[in-house]
Amino acid sequence: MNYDIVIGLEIHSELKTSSKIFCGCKNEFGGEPNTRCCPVCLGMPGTLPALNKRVLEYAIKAGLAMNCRIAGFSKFDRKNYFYPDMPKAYQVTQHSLPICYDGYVDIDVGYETKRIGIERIHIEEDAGKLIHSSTGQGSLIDYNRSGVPLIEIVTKPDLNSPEEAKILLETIKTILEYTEVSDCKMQEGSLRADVNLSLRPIGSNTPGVRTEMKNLNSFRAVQRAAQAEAERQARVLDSGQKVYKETRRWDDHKGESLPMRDKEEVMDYRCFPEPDLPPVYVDEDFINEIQASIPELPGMRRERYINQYGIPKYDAGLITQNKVLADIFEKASEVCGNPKLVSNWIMTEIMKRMNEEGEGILHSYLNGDNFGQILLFLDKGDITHAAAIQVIDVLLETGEEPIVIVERLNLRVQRDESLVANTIKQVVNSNPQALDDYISGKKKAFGFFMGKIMAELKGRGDPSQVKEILTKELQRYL
Amino acid sequence: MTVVDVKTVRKIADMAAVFIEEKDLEAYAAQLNTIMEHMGKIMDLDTGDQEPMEHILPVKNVFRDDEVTNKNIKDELLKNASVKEDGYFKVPTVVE
Amino acid sequence: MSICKKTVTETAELLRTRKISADELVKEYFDEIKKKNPDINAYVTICEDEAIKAAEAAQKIMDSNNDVPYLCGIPMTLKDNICTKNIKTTCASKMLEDFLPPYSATVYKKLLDSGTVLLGKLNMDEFAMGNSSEHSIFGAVHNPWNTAFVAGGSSGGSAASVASNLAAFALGSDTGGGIRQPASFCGVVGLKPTYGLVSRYGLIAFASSLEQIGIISKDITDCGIIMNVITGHDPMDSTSIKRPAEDYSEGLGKNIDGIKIALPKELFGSELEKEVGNVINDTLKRLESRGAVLSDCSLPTIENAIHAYYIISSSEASSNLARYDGIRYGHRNERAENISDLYRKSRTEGFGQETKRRILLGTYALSAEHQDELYKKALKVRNIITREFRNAFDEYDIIAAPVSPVTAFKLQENLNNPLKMYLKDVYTVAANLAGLPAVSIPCGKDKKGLPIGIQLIGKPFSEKLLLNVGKQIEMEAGRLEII
Repeated sequence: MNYDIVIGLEIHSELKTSSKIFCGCKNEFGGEPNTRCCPVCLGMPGTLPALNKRVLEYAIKAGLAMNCRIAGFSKFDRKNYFYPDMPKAYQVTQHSLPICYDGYVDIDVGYETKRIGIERIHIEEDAGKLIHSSTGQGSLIDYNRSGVPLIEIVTKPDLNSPEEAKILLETIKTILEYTEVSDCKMQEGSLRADVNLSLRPIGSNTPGVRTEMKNLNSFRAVQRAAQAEAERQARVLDSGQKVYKETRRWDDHKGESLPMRDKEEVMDYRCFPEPDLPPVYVDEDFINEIQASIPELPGMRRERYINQYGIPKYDAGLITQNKVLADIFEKASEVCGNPKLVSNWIMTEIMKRMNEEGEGILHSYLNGDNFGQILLFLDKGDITHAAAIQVIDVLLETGEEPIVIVERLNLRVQRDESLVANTIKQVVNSNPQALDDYISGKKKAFGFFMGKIMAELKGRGDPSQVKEILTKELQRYL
Repeated sequence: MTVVDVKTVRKIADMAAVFIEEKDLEAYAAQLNTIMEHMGKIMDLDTGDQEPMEHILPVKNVFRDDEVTNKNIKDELLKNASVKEDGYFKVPTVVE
Repeated sequence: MSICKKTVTETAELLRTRKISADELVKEYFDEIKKKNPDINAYVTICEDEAIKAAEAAQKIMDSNNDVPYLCGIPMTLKDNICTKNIKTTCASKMLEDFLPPYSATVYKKLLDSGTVLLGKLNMDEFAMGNSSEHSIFGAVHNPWNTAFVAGGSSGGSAASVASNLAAFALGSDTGGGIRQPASFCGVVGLKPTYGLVSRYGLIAFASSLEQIGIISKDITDCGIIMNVITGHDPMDSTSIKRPAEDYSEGLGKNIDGIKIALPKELFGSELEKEVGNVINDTLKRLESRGAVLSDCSLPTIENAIHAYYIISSSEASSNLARYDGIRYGHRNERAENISDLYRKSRTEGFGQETKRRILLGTYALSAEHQDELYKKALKVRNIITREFRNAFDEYDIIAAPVSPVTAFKLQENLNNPLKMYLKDVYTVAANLAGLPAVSIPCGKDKKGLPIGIQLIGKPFSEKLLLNVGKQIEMEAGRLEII
């Protein structure tokens, strides 16, 4: 049978505040175990939470950027369950009244734009981390992450393919980066998603039974897990069996998922209002203040790039997907004055490096200013294409100013006409065979001379100038 | 009417991560049943459209500034743990 | 008269006038503790060395400084659910038998800042769950008036220590009467402040939305003096209130002409022992003769307060006590083979029977199946009760009632009947549900010679009025002293 795929995502994103959600411990990834902890985030007896105001601001900011309504009144609840990484045996979360609700995010699927509903965004606390003991016996707990602020973004089940799920996650990541509420480092687990997926026979209106796959922390994993789960459910349904409502764990190495808990066991979290935290009332002024702090978001920025800079939609889309990259584009365009050139170089040279080495390049010595300077040299014909690449390479290593590199390595284009003319003469004279070829009509020989001359000029010749003089020089023999 | 029976006690004990020995189950069930029967009288009260009172205080919007104020006090925090290893708290192997 | 019998006010005067030094004073107290505590069992930890050092330091301050805090050198003691840095804080539970908190409760810090000297930590019902101080791994507290009787609870150690002169004053906690009832049973003053007035940071939680740290003292004036020290906003407790400071010890005993006191008929019900009722009525008449205006009133839903209280307190307890898993602190079963075994065994061994019973009750009341009909229903009742109080306070200044329907009962008498035990809280729990201040003042004795206390409940932040009216009662009835 053929089925429609129905997917909703639950996305957890750590907020990049300075301190944790309920105590003054540092909010930072890693570190020696249990060094960023205190009695509060360790849930020691008698300790109480105190809410970090920036957590509320960031959650609202994320909500506004995803077109959510902001709750005038919201509050915190306790979600009770035992797990060794959760020191109080309850998670403080917003079960009944989330801070943001009823929003949407537009995603680009091929050439179409699709609107995905956001059910809610709520605030909660992260748990510690379990690792296996090096002795092979037992598990070890590091609570440095315990109490790190999180938002959970719950989408409506509006996604209809694994690809859409991946694109939505990418889009939301970009929004969170643009609004600077999260650094979204997926390899550090600061952005992770759960995939809820069900199948529905095409044409049917009855929703299928859904499964949940937990803690997927790469775009690829989200897409692959959704794909594999859709196929698994189809096999189950096709064989006349039932899909169970269950939580599954995705194994990215094996490319398969397995049920996490006993099917029979339904968790009863006994949620109730957190008595230690007073409710939160948010007024218009507060919301407006946060609204004003939201920068231009990727969708708007892309449109502006197309209109203002005249770069292709595809390029604009890719560049704006990454805020740092877009910032580099914009600054470089300003410095060099040729946005199309900048966009071309980003789409080729920078993207190539990002694909090979990751996003690290965006946080290296390279910035919009020096990138713009390099391209300005190129645009003015002061350096060649090859030299520009060489400058980027050196800059990434040494962090020197482009002008310093250009001078130090003597990369400026050689335009001294008599010198260029002499070099050309010399090359033509010392290659009689090629000259004969050229005279007998073999045009390929022209390219041969160009190469030789450029090599003789150590790559610093201006190709158009060389071409012009070479053409004149050869003319003499015809 | 019995509201809390042995089966219920077993279930809630499991949820609360405590263990009640078989021989004590009956006694616990009987006591809890007596108590719940009495406290359950609250169900008969007509509370109309009354809202549940979640906070007794008229206090709202209590916030802390986003500042790092705590230092590393790992040793003090680990002091009360009976089993630890290399600066970690230790538990029997957790399989997910 | 032994110096230990003196009130805080009297002791402070002796210290100030150099009639005694702080270290001599503390030694007197330890002599008394060693003599009497074996019979009373109020103390579970005695901090003799630390206290003597602290007293010497206090004396130095008094010798060298002109700006000496009023309570400097005063020996005091704390219920063992109030965290004291590097001093064992056990909650009278096997679970926390060896727990050394790496932090101090805010109230303890405030008391240290005011120069008081901690003598030790006090016995109680395990995790403050109980009203007889019998549910303790250290054994029951005995009533100093007659050691065959209970001291009340859960702050039984606090009340017994002050009543038997083993400390100048004590702090306890009151979740459903935990200060007022033992104060009444032991013949001392007990005050539960308005919810939010005293920081709960460092008070080991039983039922967070109901409990407050409060005072047990020898007289009303002392109570006011200590209130001045322990109240105030604390950023570590988000439910603590910001409001201007008051001087609670100022103007006590002033005229109460025209003060309107209401007597809710529901708090003088059939369960009230006749003898207790008579003493209360007699006390009220004497207030009338001092100018107070008495009226009968009705708070109809207060009869359901006990139900709402046990449902809400047990629900919160089941969550507050879930953190005791043996991993980071507390009792741990060493033979557990897997993680769920570790939880189960550690908690089963670490918690006493009553504590487990409350956890089970709370888990039941919060479970998906019963949450609406029990927990949420109880919150609705809480709302109604609070409103009924508010309406009453539109008309009256104070509500008066007995603290307990009975005087101290015999040790063991109610241990096997938890429900019967719970129902003895009928008069005290409503103030906790509504977050109101309430004070228990000794006003007489029964034929067995056991103390009786009267309870005054006020509107939020009316502690000063309560203490002033309490002072009138004290002036009429006199302090109850064990001879």
